[in-house]
Amino acid sequence: MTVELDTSGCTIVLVGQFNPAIFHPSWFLSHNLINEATAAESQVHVVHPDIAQMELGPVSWQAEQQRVTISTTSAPLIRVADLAVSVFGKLLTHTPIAQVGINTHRHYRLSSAEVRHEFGRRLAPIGPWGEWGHRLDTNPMKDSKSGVQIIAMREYWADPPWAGYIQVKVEPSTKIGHDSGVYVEKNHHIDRMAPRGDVAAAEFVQYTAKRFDDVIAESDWIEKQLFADI
Amino acid sequence: MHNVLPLQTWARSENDGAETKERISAYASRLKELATPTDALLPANNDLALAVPSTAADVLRPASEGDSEDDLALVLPMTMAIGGSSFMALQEWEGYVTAVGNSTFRAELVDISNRKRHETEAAEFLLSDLEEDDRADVTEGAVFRWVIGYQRRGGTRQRVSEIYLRRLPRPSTGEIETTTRRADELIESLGLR
Repeated sequence: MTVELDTSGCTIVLVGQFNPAIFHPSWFLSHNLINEATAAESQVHVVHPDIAQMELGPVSWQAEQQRVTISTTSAPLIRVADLAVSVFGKLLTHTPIAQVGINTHRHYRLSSAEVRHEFGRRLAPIGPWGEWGHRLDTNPMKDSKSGVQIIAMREYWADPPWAGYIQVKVEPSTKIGHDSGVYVEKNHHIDRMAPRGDVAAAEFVQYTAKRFDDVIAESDWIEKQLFADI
Repeated sequence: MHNVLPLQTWARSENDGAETKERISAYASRLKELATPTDALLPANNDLALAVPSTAADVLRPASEGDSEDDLALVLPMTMAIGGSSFMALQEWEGYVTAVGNSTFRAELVDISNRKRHETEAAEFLLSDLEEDDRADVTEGAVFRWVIGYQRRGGTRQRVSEIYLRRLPRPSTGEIETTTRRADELIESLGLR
């Protein structure tokens, strides 16, 4: 196989006004959001008025005063949306939220450094870079091939009253060795059309959950085509 | 996390049956490609779709009258506990429970990976394949995800499967009453009553 998915994860980021100190595994357990086994095995890194950070089974939960981040690298990825809906769609429904992001992050393993180098050249041709672009190809350093370090594309969308953008970023993977890895991150940003500003959390997370599976499928669709010619 | 596969699957139509067989065959092929400990769970011929592990044989639903050839028995590798934090889906279904027995439960499945919107398959699972804490929550109507994928642990990966019981907020009595009232009003307005 020329391209192999090595690691896949998903993060939901909610931007708003939060009270980190309330979040603790026992709080999640008391509301039946996790089971007793998960609560018993959970790891609490910190619970403080400024930040709460913990592992709830395969889900990482981090709350700051202006941001909550829920992430996992374990399928089914819907588990992060479920937790967001359960917490902010049912319990803390009036929490003000201004923006939400559904992010996928994946590391792909290509067959060799040469294949990755060619892939990078296709994404970012050196021609428009003029003489310096030409120098990238003639650079005498044998072990470090010069080329694209980061490239991003953005598409705006609207689904009234919601709007936002999809941004896909591609860069060399720092996780996969032999210079053969590619990291692809997609950010599906959800905002509220005018009047902008904070919206009750329930409304925001219900829309997020409704879109979640399609957003993940869209990442598959984009990345499949991104690597189609390898 | 447990490694779970259904005792049996039933396609909802003849065409879907062919698709299901093809997909199961593809899983078996993928599995053969992997030199991982998962291989140890397979019978000698590695024929996942047709093999019956003896440990599960006594709880398999017996064939009954009316079962067609499309009633394909997808039989599971033995349950095993797995750890680690990276589990990538190859195939994912959403299911809802239609019946709960003493040791098994049945469910209708929607193929999420192929972006289906309606049920195309049904399956029967062992209750013992779920975490003990989750078993009491398996009631009629309960929603879950069933995922087959690769579990990565260190430098190796295994093909495993998991059922994740979705802990979604249940509607309140007030919400149910409001929705029922609106449905009644809609039926009235359409002259259907």
